[in-house]
Amino acid sequence: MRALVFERNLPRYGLARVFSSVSGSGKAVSKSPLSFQNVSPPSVDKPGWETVDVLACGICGSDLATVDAVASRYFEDIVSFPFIPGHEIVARRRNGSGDRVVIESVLSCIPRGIDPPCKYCATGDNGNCTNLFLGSIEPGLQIGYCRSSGGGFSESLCVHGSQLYSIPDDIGDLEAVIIEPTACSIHAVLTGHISRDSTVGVLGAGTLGLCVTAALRSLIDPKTVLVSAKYDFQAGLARKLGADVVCEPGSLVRTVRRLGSGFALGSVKSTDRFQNSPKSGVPKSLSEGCDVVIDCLGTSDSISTAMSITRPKGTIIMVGMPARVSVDLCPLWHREISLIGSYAYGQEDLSKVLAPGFEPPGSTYQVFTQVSRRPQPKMVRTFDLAIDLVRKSALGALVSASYPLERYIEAFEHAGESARRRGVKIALVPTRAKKQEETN
Amino acid sequence: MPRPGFLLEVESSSPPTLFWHGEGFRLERLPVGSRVLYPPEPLKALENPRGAIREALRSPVGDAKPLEDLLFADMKLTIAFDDVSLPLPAMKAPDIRQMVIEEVLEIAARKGVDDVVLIAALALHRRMTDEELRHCLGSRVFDSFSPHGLLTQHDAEDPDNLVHLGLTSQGEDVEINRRAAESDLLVYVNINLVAMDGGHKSVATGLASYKSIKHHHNPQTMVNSKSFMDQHHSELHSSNWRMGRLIAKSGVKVFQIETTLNTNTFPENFGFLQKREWEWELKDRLGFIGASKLLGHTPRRVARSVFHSILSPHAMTSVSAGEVEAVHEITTANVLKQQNIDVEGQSDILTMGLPYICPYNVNSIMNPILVACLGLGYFFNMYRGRPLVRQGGVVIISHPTKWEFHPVHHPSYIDFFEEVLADTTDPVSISERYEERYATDPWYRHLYRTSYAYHGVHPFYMWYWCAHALDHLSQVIILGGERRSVERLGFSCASTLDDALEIARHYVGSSPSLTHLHSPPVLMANVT
Repeated sequence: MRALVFERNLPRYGLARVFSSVSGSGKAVSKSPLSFQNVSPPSVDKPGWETVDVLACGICGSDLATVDAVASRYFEDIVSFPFIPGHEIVARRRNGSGDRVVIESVLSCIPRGIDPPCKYCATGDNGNCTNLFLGSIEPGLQIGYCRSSGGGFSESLCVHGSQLYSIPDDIGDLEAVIIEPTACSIHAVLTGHISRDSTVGVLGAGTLGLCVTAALRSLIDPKTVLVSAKYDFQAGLARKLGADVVCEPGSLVRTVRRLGSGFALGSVKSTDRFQNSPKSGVPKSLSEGCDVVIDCLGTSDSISTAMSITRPKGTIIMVGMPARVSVDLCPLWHREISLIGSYAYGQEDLSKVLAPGFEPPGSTYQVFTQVSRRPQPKMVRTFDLAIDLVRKSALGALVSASYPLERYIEAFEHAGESARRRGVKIALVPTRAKKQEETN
Repeated sequence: MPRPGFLLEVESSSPPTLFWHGEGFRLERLPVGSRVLYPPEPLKALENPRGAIREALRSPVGDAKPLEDLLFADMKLTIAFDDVSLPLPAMKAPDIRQMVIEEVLEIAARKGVDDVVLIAALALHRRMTDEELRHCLGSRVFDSFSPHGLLTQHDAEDPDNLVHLGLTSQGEDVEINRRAAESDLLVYVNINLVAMDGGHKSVATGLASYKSIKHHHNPQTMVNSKSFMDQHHSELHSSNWRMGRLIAKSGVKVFQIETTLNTNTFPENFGFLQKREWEWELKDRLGFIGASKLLGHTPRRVARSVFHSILSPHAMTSVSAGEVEAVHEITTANVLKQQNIDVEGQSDILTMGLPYICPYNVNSIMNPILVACLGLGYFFNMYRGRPLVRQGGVVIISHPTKWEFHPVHHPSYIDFFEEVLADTTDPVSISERYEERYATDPWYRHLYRTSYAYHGVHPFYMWYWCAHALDHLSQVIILGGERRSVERLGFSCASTLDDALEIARHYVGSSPSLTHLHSPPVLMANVT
């Protein structure tokens, strides 16, 4: 089968890093260890595993970080080379049902055949699995980073039945690509730190920022959702999905101050004449601020900004994948801010869903309970919520463009400058599926 | 003998007209038949200004005794003075305020007055820096008072140093500086650059609190001040007069000293700015070309610095002292004597070039809100009788109008621009929905009191200054402005005068009449 394969190749990795830092994100694909190859289809001959045909797969920020060679080295021990990237997968089962499915890509104890599972998997929190390098398959935190399973940037891959969620008929193949990032967003929103009275800041209005915005409005409905969006079209989408206030990143600190009426601290006492350099006068931090800030970018700047706009004893939720960053943590210490991570998805506590009138997605819940280990009362799988949210908020429209697999270089370039080109999510589609898509 | 103001009718042989354009200039060919209003030439300065000041203090006007007779030992004397917003540009040393205050202090010293405090009458303006105070008062006064805490700046947000004197017949709160109100004598030292300055406004606004000022700084007052440069048709003036009379009735004894300036605004090397283009000599042409070329290749920050370092050769043309209203009547007559130009009829289009400076960006940045205020608040209102442009007409303003703000001086302006104008440009709606929040914002209050920031409400006032013009005009076009900031102001943008005129024709018809306000130097049109 044809697939994009990422190999351990340090010279090319180094070249990609240099190239991407000069040319920009997504521009170093041809120099990176990623290549289009004919490979043997993956095969996992273990109980519960099956092969599915890829219909579409989104290019995630983490995929871009991988080909840009800026991903964290933290992952080195929980990936297995060579791997086929791609974890925002929409596929069709070969088991005769022909069901279209999205894949919960975390390779936790259950797919790995580890029994008894670790204490996190035992309670449904697969994302926190501690056994990502053990069991019957190669190490890999997710499909898309594991040699055994294959990945979404291919024609087919192996998945465990517990990872599959049926796609309702009213969600198209490409639209379904947004379900996985929506699940990540929901998981971040339902950490339990956000109340109906909260003012929540969302940093970034790309895929994650927009999905987080929709999730906030739909599942919590907090007092104020403030989104920083770099581009006008992003601002429009954020408003449409439920943001109360949208501002440019450069005016974020001021905007948050206006919402909270606190003080801004910074170079405001100077008597220098003509302070008109771009950054002068941008307050450094606020005395008050947002109750919760959800950082969808994960950069040094975004984390610093998050700290400067979070109130004392507030919370920063990091949902965008960071890498090595350089940040002054003094505000975190001084203002007793909690910095928490939010990775992937798993199981959500319905009591944390605060939006009035929210109805849990009953039917998909039932489908899932057949494969879940131990569903608990008032708990729901994140993917079930995500499918429901994608339908309700029409998040499928965030998938802006798709490319045939063999045109992956263009696709990655597009993904790297997606926002500049008024796009959000870019997807890759195997040629077979692409033809089908065009026929439809 | 200085020549009066002049109204030129543009002919095909007329040279191009100079437009100010922020920290630069434009030469524009106005359509044949356009009118260009040139300000009167500078009146002759007083030959002995100090002598004139002494004489004014000795021979006050109205129901007032000579200053010497009002001073006595053990009294509490307060001398308030206009702040950095006057004159424009800052004048060459010695500043008029220095000369007047030195004379007042000399008499006070002779009379054994020890308790003397100076107050910069800031109203809701930013505090002055020490450098600015020293320039304004001179080193002798500054060094005698400042180290002892006797040189103060009015704080409109200091509840301990404000006193409420009552309500006017219209229910307006009159709350002013406590030290000033409780002094045995308040001497106010004024510089009258335009007809709106001075009179009761000096104390009733300059030393007042937001609670008091908001009664006349609002859209309703501004729309009903036609114009606010014409005291007989200005609701702003009427409100200040009601307040001033209440202040007097409350027992606050004010000894007003008002001065007027001639229109000698720019130093000799910028002489071309004060001349009519057809009278430019070789040195004027070279001066213009040199300045234009140089500015064209100079970073804006540097150009701004150069312009703000210009000190004006303004000279005093009159000084009067005594009872407020009597003094101000003389002052107003002297202002008009210098600035008046009679104009017959309105035009469809009024054009103007705005310079780098207005009262609220001395040593600072002329942000887009101040551009609007200077053009539509000040220049548009430089009339008596009727506006220079007809109802439903168009104003074309030449200015770069960059999205730039001085973060120290204008913090609330940035938020006003980002938040308020993004929502609405209607002064009434702005006033109802946003003013109170900005006016009471603790951060702005803190910066106004402790830093060098204009009060949080100040950008609202700047926008209210525009209310009459916005109400009167059908469109405002910014020539050579930055598109995104012009759009935020709710105006149209044009890159050339021809484009601007084309846009204007859409509103005023295909053969519009046009008047160009060739200012500064300042002029006041008496439109019949």
